[in-house]
Amino acid sequence: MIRAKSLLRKVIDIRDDEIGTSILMFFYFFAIIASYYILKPVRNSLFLEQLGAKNLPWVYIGTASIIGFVVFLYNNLSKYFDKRYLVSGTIIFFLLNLILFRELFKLNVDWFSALFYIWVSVYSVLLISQFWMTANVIYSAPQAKRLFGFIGSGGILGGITGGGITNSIATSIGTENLLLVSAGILIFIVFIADRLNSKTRITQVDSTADSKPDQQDESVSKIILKSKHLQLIGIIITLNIMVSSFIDYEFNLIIEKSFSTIDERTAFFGSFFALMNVTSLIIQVFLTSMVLKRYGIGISLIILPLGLLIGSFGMFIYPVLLSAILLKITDGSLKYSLDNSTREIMYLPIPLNLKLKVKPLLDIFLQRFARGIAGIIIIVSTTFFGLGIVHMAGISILIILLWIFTTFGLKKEYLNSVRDLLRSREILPEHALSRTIDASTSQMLSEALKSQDNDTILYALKMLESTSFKSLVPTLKPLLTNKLPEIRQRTIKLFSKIGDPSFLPDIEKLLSDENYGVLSDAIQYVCMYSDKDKEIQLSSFLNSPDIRVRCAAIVCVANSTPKEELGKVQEYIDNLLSDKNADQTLVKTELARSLSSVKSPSPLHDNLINLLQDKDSIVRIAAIKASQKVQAESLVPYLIENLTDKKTVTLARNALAKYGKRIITLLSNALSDESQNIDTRSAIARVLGKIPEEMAVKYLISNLGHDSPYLRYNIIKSLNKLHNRNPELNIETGSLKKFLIEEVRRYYELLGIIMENNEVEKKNQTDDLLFTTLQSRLEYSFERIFRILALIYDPSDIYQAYHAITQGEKTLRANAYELLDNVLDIDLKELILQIVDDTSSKRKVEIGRARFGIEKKPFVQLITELYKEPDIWLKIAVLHTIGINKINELKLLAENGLFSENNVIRETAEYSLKLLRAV
Amino acid sequence: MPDAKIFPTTIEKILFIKKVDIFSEAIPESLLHVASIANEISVAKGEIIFTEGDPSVYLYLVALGKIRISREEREIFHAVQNESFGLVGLVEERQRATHAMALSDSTLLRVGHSDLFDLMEDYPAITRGVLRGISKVLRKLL
Repeated sequence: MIRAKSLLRKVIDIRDDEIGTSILMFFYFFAIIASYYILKPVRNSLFLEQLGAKNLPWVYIGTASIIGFVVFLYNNLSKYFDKRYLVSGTIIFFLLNLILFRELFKLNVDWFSALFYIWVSVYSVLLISQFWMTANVIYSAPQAKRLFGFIGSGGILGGITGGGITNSIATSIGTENLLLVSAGILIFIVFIADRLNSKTRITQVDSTADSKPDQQDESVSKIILKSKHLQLIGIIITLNIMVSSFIDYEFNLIIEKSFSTIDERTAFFGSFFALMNVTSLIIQVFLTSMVLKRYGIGISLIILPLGLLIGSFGMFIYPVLLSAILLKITDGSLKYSLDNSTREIMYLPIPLNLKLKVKPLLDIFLQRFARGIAGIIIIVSTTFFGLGIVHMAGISILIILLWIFTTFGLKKEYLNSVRDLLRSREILPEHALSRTIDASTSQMLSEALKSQDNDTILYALKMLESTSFKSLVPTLKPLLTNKLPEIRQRTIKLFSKIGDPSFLPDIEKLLSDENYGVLSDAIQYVCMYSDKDKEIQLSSFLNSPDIRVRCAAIVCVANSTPKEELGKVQEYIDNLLSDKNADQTLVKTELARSLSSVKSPSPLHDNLINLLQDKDSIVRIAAIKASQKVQAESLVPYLIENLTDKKTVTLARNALAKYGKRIITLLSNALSDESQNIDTRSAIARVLGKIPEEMAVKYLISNLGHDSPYLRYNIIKSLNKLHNRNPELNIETGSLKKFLIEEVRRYYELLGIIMENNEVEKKNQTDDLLFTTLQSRLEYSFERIFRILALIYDPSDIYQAYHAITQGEKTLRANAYELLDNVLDIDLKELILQIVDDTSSKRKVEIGRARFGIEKKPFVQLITELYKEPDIWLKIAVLHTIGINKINELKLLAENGLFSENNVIRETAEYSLKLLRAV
Repeated sequence: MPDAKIFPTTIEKILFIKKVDIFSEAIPESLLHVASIANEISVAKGEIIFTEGDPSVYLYLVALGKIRISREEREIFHAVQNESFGLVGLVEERQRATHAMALSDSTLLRVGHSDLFDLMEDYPAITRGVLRGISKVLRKLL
């Protein structure tokens, strides 16, 4: 049994938990088709013998009429009976019918052959539809792609077996008794169908929640009218069946002419169906899965109509037996193999309860209805217009061209349906905030500024800082006397921003303000706009005991002094910085703030270099804020230095980003500089991510090959931000694909280490920091892969797929798999789907090792290599795992950790050695 | 009173933080940063950790002992080992609306809100972990 399973796994891509059900499905389909191909040759030869091919269109119409009634009856019965009993009941009903037909044929009535023809059509349609409904319930889209090929081949083998049985025993047991053989197979089918449907009952009930509530009570026709996807499936089924009917008619006319006796025809039909099914089998085994997996549904949908187009051209030019055989074989073999599997996949994104309602209508009723229409066309064109085989082939060609055209639309709608399924669970990633003030916002802000609540006023003032507000000036003036200093200060700043001196009288009143911030901004405003003797006024300010007043005055002097005379201003600054009586932190922060108000460019800004390197982070923060404003390039290296400090990193990052494209080269040099630490380089990557320039994109991509996963993550994330906010930026996908492949290799490498780790350590996995670290790194690796994909493909598709996969729900994962399968290019598809697939980690590691030649290493070697990586946390985690799992072979690493420069590594090494000693 | 320093090493502090609800979803390496801003404190039975109207500046993680959280004398919940309290202040930045008192001698790790915010700003992985942790705590409450 184990050997059989492993053989099956080798031949087809099947998981352990799928084997039992899939074997049952295989035999279910095998038995249905075997019984059908016992009945089909009997049906065809009897009809041709007793009524002739010219009457075939009438049975097409008859079948269409009867099928309408059958569908109506079946749908009504399905409301009252459990599906399990309905399926079994239908099969038993057909079984009893066969026994009845055996008795009727003894009466030798001609029209019984027409009745039997129609009955066999109903039989095949109903049983095959029931089978595929069960398959649709059991399998998801990715499973279907892997397994429908195998299951479908059961049907083809059934066809070969059925045809073979008919050929070999028809003469010895008699035509009527073949019906009993078929009935015997039906008993076998009842048992299999019942077993499978009892397994799938719960799934069906649960899955009714798939559709929207308002869809649950809708009529089938309304559901189809609302869904473009279902309409296109319907159109393709109609066109397919019409063409197939024309081909069947042409084929039977030629057979009737080519063979004179019923025995010759029966023998021919037997061998023909056998040949057709062998061809089907070859296609199913060697082509179906390969085409579906490699080229996707777009190509597989088009193969049948393309084959029939070529065949119909053959028939159009040479309407002989060989052309008819080739055309019919193309039709039959592709229809029951590749095309059948593809069509079933097309239904997969339809919510299950809708599918259960709609599918019988499309598969049973529409198919026969189309055959009926074909019948009418054949009767009209042959009886009234005297058209022959060649003309029918011509009509077929036109219909096939329409069919091919429709497949493009169906592929598009299919993808949209998959997207809709995912989107219905989507959380919108970002909401953009508008900064434009319209009339209603202006009114709202005006009311807010008049509010009694200072928080409300401040909120409104903050909003005004980033926008135009001239219409609100009258409302702002009273705020200069507000009790809260922050409100007074912000109001002065807003007036300075306008550049209008008319507020001078009001602001001069604030020159004695008790709050330093208000005072400083008032001085700056007065210096900027006052008409009085500036020198006297400035002199009093510059000699003020108040640091802020002095600093504000320096700005005034600096802005009104020619560049060549700025030496005097520098003296004021030097005096200020050397004033031992003053609080130097206050002096420096205030100086930094003041320098930001000195007009650029100015040599005075170089004072910020020292301030950016100050030991006190408060001073550096003020200097960074000033640098952001003055944007002198000489300050950039010192801003980069501030990226290493947690307290200043965010501000420094924002300040650098404000410089924009001018400093891209400087930043990229720092990004590539191996002497910089990873945190700094990651921060630089984030800065580049805020500069929407193609150069920034180029430099970021060129650093994607770095060994540090943290740096790679930040680079990719920055690229994502640039790409999402500026889709017009050109991103060179060729090199991205190269990095993507490398990222996938790293993913497999990491997965391999986790697997090795799992195999060795069983003692304390939940507390094992190495295990959890590697797990989280694997998750980040997976995220990086998808982030790169989002740079190559539509980010929205990739975002949806990633979230569906990481949410873990099986159906969502399956839909995501399906979306990726259709969105990704052929060169990346297999690579990505293999890591997304639900296969076991062990199998994935095997795939990764085979694909990338990753060497399997002993656990001790892997751990030692991890420890050697320049990653502090990894060293800590390795040391912890050595201690907690008492891995004495790695004691040397722990001893080595005692000499680390890093305090936490040393502590963890001691901790680990203590645990080892406790053995 | 419990003996001082139940976390003599950073690694032990990290291993504890990893178990606390709010940080249980954070990636392990981000906890190294959290450990660096978490200070161990001991509180005696009956000691008040904060009361209504106090500034909300710390998040507390219970390493040992039991803390009673109440509002206007009405008990809200008990924070026990591996649980956190003072979380609302982290989110709302308002004055304390509750009263926290040790029901037994307890050891806590105290994390400054502003330090944690600084970390969250610089390391999105911590933010993501903390948000997942908060969501986990909320789910438990609902």
